[in-house]
Amino acid sequence: MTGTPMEWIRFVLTAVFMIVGLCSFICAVLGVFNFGYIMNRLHAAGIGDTMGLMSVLVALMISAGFGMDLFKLIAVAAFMWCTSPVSTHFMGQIEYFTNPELSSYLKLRRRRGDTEET
Amino acid sequence: MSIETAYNILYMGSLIIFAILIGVMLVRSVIGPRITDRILSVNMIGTMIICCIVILSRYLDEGYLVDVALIYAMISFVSVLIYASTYIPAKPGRRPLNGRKKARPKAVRRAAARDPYEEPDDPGPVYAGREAEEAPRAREAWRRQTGRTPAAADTRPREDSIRNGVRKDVRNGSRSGSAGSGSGFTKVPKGGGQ
Amino acid sequence: MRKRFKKWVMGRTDVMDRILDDASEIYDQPRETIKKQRMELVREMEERPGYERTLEAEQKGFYLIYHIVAVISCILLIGVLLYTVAMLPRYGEENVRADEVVERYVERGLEETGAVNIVSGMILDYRAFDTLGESHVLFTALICVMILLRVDHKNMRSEYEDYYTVLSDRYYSLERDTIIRTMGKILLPCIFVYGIYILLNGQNSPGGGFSGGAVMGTGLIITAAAFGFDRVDSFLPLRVSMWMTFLSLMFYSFAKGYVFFTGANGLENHIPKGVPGAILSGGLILPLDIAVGLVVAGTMFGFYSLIRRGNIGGA
Repeated sequence: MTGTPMEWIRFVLTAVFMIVGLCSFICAVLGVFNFGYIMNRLHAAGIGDTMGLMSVLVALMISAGFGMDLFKLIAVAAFMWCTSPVSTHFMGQIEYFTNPELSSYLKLRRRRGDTEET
Repeated sequence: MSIETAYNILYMGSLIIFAILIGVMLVRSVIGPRITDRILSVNMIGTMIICCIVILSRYLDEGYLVDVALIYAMISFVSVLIYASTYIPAKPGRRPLNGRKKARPKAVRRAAARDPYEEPDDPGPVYAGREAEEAPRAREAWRRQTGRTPAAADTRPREDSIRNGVRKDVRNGSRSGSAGSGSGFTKVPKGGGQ
Repeated sequence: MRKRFKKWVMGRTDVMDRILDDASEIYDQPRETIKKQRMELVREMEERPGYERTLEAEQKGFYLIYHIVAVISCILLIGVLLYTVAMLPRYGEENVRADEVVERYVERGLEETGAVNIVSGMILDYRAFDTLGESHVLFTALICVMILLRVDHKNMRSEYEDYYTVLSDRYYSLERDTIIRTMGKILLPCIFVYGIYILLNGQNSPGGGFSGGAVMGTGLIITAAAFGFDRVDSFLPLRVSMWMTFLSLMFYSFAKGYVFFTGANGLENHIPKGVPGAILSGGLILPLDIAVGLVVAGTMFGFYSLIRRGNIGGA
């Protein structure tokens, strides 16, 4: 086993975080397939976007050490964590506005101005 | 074994698993019965590709591939944003896109009202692909179940100026413009025909 | 004669005036009579019995030939291109014709262009003529899309706007979410700074004019989609957008033209190459990167604006 113990500790940490990230993504994909409705699938997809991506990026940050790559990876993580919930929000809005039988899946509150007959 | 091979095995294994996951998500994008399923799967594929690119940047020890991943994140975000602005219906009465903040002058409204072409009916919600033929059945089923008609689009009483100027006897239940009316706006030679 | 020319330039007469008989009579009348005539024609066509069937019979043959010819020409083109690609040398093989050029680029690229990134040096120094053509293609594409899609609200107001566009997405914007507005305030400065970073680092690391311009164009699209077009119109009206695109293209042409001229005649163009690795290095690569980036950003945002609402600068 070549290499100092420090490098091996770094490798073990990288591997642990990477495996956690992979398991999160597998859970997310399994969730997207097993759930029945799009709104439930959004919950499952959120796991991949936040925890999976973060674990993978933390693994690579540990592997990269201190340098320019670290800050770039932090920038990627920050950008994805800022924009991924907004994307999910918009997907929910698309579903709300394009599904006529949404009330049979979800319990909706009546908005101000909604009429019940067309 | 040395550290290099350990890292290589780790990175290669992750890349292979990510590739399999991306292939599986493609299946969801094909069979997903609604539009939103497909948008969701494309977004997830984008996220997984970002992970792949970042792993590659460490595997090849090139720092600039992370920039590519950042651009990819931006593009996937913009794509969902533009999808949303396409499918979320416009509400009349809101601020118009071209910056006109006041109502149009009365002469224009009156000239519009005198035109014998009636306005088209309200479009329902957007159906894409295979749902277009399921739409009437879905509405019927819902109507039978709950006794209500689905609220298709925004049915609030409009406060827009053009709608108030329109002839009131043809506001609801008007016949929608026929197929030939679309060609009326293009130049038509005098002899008729196409 | 001048009157006819002026009418043609303003779009009221057709070049095919004498060829399509009686077509000019349509546009010499006031707007209301034109509208009435069109509506009468459409009603005549609709009320004629068998209208749809005659339309089908006349157009069916044409469409059949059109589809067959389209498919055949596509297959021919694909076949020719694949055959040409199959004749290329394999990856890594020795190719006498191309190797000398590649060797020169790789070995003497740094000292001749001053750029650490050989790709940027190649597209903006050795092969700048191609990039010139590409920038012109982008600009021409924007003009063509403008011709096809532009809805001139000043001149076409009473004809088109009353029913066809009022209820459509083109006329009204959608509700501005608080979420996207807040996120936009946080993210958009970062996106623009990132685009400028990619632009300025064209000669040192992968990036350059095209990718930086694409990122800036994406930033403009996010601004327009998140905050509404009013915000973007206040700092990018049509005049500014067109002048920005046009001036950067002209700057590129003239600067590179000067370099071509001096290079072709064996003269010395006194453009300093600078220290490789610094930002102000690589001779003309940095200014040309900025020019190309502005063209790309203007084109990208112009496409989005034209497709979304029919014009670039608003109203």
